[in-house]
Amino acid sequence: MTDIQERPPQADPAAAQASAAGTPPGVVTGHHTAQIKKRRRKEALIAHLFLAPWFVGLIAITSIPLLASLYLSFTDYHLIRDWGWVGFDNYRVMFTEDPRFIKALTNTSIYVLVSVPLQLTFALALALVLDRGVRGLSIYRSVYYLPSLLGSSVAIAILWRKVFGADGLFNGFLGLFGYEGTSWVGDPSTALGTLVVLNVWTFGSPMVIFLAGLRQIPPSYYEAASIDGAGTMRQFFSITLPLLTPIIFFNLVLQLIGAFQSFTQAYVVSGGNGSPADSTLFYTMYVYQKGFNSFEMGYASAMAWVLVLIIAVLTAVNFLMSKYWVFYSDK
Amino acid sequence: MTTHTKRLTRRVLPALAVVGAMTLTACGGGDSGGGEDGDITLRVAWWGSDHRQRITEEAIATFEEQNEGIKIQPEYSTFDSYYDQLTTQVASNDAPDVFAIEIRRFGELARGGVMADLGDKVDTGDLNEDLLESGTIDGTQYGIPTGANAFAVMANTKVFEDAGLELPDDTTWTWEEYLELSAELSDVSDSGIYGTQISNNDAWLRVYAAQRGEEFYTDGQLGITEETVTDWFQYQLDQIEQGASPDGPRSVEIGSNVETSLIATNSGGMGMWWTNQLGTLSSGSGENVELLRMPSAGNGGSGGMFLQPTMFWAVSGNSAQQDAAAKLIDFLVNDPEAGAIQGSDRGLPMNSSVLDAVRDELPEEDQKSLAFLEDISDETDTPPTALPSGAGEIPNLLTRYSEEVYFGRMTPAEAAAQFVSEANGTLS
Repeated sequence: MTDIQERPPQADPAAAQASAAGTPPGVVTGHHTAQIKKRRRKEALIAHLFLAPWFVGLIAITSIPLLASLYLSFTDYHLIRDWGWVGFDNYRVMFTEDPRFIKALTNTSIYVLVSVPLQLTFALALALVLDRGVRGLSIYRSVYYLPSLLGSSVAIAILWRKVFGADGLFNGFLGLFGYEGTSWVGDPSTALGTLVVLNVWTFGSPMVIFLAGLRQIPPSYYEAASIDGAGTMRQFFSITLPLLTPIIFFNLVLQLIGAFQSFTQAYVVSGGNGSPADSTLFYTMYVYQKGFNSFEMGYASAMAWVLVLIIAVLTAVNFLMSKYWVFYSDK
Repeated sequence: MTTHTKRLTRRVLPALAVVGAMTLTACGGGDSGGGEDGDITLRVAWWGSDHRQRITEEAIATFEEQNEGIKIQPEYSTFDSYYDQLTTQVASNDAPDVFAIEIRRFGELARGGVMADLGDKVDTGDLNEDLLESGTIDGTQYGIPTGANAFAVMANTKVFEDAGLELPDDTTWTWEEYLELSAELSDVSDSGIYGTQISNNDAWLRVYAAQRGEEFYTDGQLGITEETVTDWFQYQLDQIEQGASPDGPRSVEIGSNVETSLIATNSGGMGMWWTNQLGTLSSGSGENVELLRMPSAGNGGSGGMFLQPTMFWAVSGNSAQQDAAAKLIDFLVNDPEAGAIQGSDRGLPMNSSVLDAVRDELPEEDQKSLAFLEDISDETDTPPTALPSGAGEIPNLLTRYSEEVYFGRMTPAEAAAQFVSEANGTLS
């Protein structure tokens, strides 16, 4: 590794890779080559050995069930009753005869479209504040990051139910202003909102990534800009934001995928049935209900694959769009 | 990069295939339970509270002492995850030898050919015949009831006392009177205390329908008319609108959990619960909770109340040790010692000789339930027979459509119409 530090930074990525892999460039004799080859083979073997558990896991616990579920999605596989091949029936029923599917899709879309932008905005705003060199930064960072660790846990979801319950903290707070609220988690017009707030509250993990991104912007840019007379706002929109777009993009993709798959919060807050009146019926929860309450695993598999498609398309669109707004400074 | 991938495909994949195959055979092989030294291991699954876990394990330990060579391996879980686990095990031919199951899921699994015939394996001589009948499908005894339960009104006497109201005469009261009394209780009590708590339990609808001469299920479909369901939804709405119960959002939040119910938290006068929940309600409130008959339709017809097996014990049809499994069930329902250990946790014992043996040792609440069940025994309808497949979903449907009604998103009539059609689509 020391040879990397001794040499000037390399522009050629291939050479950098070669040196990282442990092959010092330089004079190579025949004797050396054989030895190096042998060592490389040994290293590759060790690498594969270390990777093996992961590969076994990938194949046995991910790939095989994944393919099995693709097959099952074309059957009416039921845990107890007889079942058989039904072709595209599950997919057809989903979009034409199942109002709850549409409801679940709508709920989830609202949840994603509202909570992800809000969450990222909060994360960025806080990252900017913290990046200004607040005293005790590491403490703040940890405090704000904490919800991200806890957010999808059952304990927090139970806490949430209490906070937004009829006799909860939130109503206690509103009571100070003379407003008497009822149960926010029990009302179909507000229950989804409490889940959005819960997701926004877990802005810590994108925030930490934003912070890291902000640290990578060379201070000299700002110095130059301020000498040229650019104000704080101008600096933010002309330097910070453009240079941060790759990070924003990364966070956006990650959070979108995560939000589409959220399950635990809605499951716990609604008591597992999407109550009240299906207003918190998330996509994944409906998959779960179909699979484990109605035992209709074939239908549930089909729903799971539709979700995979939705997320894949969304991510692809995201990547295509990124050409127009994401700026990579090294290109 | 491509050469690397090729090498990986050539060398690693076959190796992985071997490992994968080994993993799969390991999964498929399973352990059949029979040890080499002649010992039998029985896997027994149930759900429930810590209390139930303790007493069941105590009963099991007694069984193991009496039956050398049989080892029991308990697989308990919470109710929420119980059926996920059980049905997955059933689907992968890995069901526990003995498992507990409710009447709502019993029919579906028994018809699926999952359970063994226990007719001549368990001594049913001393068991209540009507209840036994509900563990049969086409005359085959797939399930042995663990005990008996009735769905009834419970009243928190402290709330009544504080309000200065008398407990009603439950032999004559009607649904109208129940509503009026609940509204009055809410009125005169402090704020935050309500007359009753909304219930959308299917057992209540069963009673409500029976009072109009309708059966819940007939021929694998709903037997209740849309009109009855409409009135039932309307009745729930009336409770909310007349202040007899908390408003819609609060009612949804309170849900159907016993521990956090209005009676258990001394914030409600009445509610409808199963008799084996009396203990939890009483200990939660710390006050005296009385059992009352369900109100009647006032038409002089059936009171509609019924005894129901709290749950069944069943044996997996795939079990290699069905005789030993049946022996365990026989012990749990027929042995006085087992009866004394278990009390009424899985319903009141329905073996007459066990009951006589443990009667005086039962806790106060159980004795109260027992007296109540004996009191109403000549008024009750026959227990429900095994329910159609898909019946396990009906309670969820009722809750969902009830909520649509509470929030004015559907009229009771609309909700009833949609409930009936969706329910019939689910049942088979």
